[in-house]
Amino acid sequence: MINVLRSINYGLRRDVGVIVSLVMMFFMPYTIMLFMCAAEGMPLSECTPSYYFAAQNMAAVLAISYVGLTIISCKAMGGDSKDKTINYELLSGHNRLKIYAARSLAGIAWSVLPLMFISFLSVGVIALINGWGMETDPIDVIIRIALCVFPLIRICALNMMFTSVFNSAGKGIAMGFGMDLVISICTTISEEVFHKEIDYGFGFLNIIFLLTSQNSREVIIEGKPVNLFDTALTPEMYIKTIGFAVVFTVVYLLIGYVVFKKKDRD
Amino acid sequence: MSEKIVEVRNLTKQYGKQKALDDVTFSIKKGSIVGLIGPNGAGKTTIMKTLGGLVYPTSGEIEMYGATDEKGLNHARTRMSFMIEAPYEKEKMTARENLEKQRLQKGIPDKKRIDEVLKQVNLENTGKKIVKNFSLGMRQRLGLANALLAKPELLILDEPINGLDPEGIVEIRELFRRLNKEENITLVISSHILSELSLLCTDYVFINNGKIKGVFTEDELKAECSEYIQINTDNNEKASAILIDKIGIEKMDVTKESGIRIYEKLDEIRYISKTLYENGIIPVEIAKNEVSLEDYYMKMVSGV
Repeated sequence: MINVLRSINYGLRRDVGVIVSLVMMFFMPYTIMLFMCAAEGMPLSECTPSYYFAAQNMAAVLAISYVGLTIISCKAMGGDSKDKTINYELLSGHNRLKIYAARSLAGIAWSVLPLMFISFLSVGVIALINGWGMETDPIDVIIRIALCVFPLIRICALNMMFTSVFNSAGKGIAMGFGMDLVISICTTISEEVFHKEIDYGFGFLNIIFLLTSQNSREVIIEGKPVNLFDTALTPEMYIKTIGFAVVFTVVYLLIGYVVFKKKDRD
Repeated sequence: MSEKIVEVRNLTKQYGKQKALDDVTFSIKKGSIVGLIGPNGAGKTTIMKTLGGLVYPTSGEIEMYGATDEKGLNHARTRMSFMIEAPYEKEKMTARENLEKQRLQKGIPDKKRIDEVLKQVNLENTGKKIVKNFSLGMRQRLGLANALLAKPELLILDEPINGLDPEGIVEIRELFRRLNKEENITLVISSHILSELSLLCTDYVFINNGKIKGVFTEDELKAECSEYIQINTDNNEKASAILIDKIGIEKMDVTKESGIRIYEKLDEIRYISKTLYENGIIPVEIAKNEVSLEDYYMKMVSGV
């Protein structure tokens, strides 16, 4: 499996689509910060102290970086399907489970891990430039961003499942974006028609629930402005965030594997 | 007798109602060069894909290096190399990068092996040229380089000389011979260029419509492609009876399309002619001919 992983890594390092996606993801936090400043019409130092950025804008950063995440994860799983070079992994005697596991691992490692690194780095960089701002517990912010790794892995697994089922990175990417659109529509219908909020399990809902501005507000405590998240990090949040992500990730990866295992590689 | 390293027994592959392979049985001996011969859609590539583990058989059994279970077959595949359908190629990478990716995948520790195989297939001077800009022949050579990378004991190649120029075909033929003789690599080659296979192969497997039509050694095929006397008369039915009764001919084919073909007493053409004439048969055509590999191929695959 290690050999297959090394080979995939070698290919991804030379894939223009992957490099462009990573660069886009790297600059996304700063682009959003500048955009927010321009929208507010405020100087850079005032409009986005780091706490504000992390609490208010990180969900947008992750949601837009979803494009890059989808491209990279689908390319890791099925980038070698179009030219059939993936077949040479089987022809070399690697079994299907090891090939699938290596590709899943590469998909997560090349998309979720850089995105998490970029997210934390941007909070640090913006804190250095603009300061931390109002008194918000940095640990609380860091835990919330860190928790996002679980739904991101789930989303990544869903993309890879589509790629495996359709045996095509392109179709996987299209289905990933399509599914995101469907979830957005369903969420809106659920909230507007049935007045029922969905917070876990699908698309970016969990990440939005953990990080967005709807979920945090400014209050004055003992004369000091403090940023509070409406929902404290409760054990239920930990369990549901991690639990939903793990269950769905396993289900998605299993479906993808069953298709990969059963299908002839014609 | 040479050791059998691959045995295919009663292999059937069905896609819906269509049988791509139908009860295929043959074996590959160590040190041989096997030519897999058949028209497009005959099932040659499906056989190779089944051996490579890309396609699951509907029924039947494959034994490779003594293994029949999935784990054992996968281990056997580490001793083999394949080039099936498309050669291994990432279009936006150079030849060297393509081979480096494969070197990592196959776990080959020696980086110098890439230089060796590039030299073997005459691609050592392609530099930074990406595969997208390679000719078809160059792509085939890269596929061969990839197949040779892991120093396999058995090479399975699907149409390896497809797209090569005449000079390239000679070079690759010599390379195959060298690999077989000097490195004792067994080769299985499918090709439409029968004349090329006849210059190279020690064993032949004829296939059409998913069925094996014949399995021959080089000597057996030479015997089948031997000389014969072609006879056409005003009455072939009566002529064939005379040939049996008066001359004692036993090895003979009589068809409406080809007339009479005699495979024995080849030096007695005058006597045969005279006997027919004396018995009231007028020979329209009587000549010594030879069955070419192409003729035999047509006969095997289409029954003509």
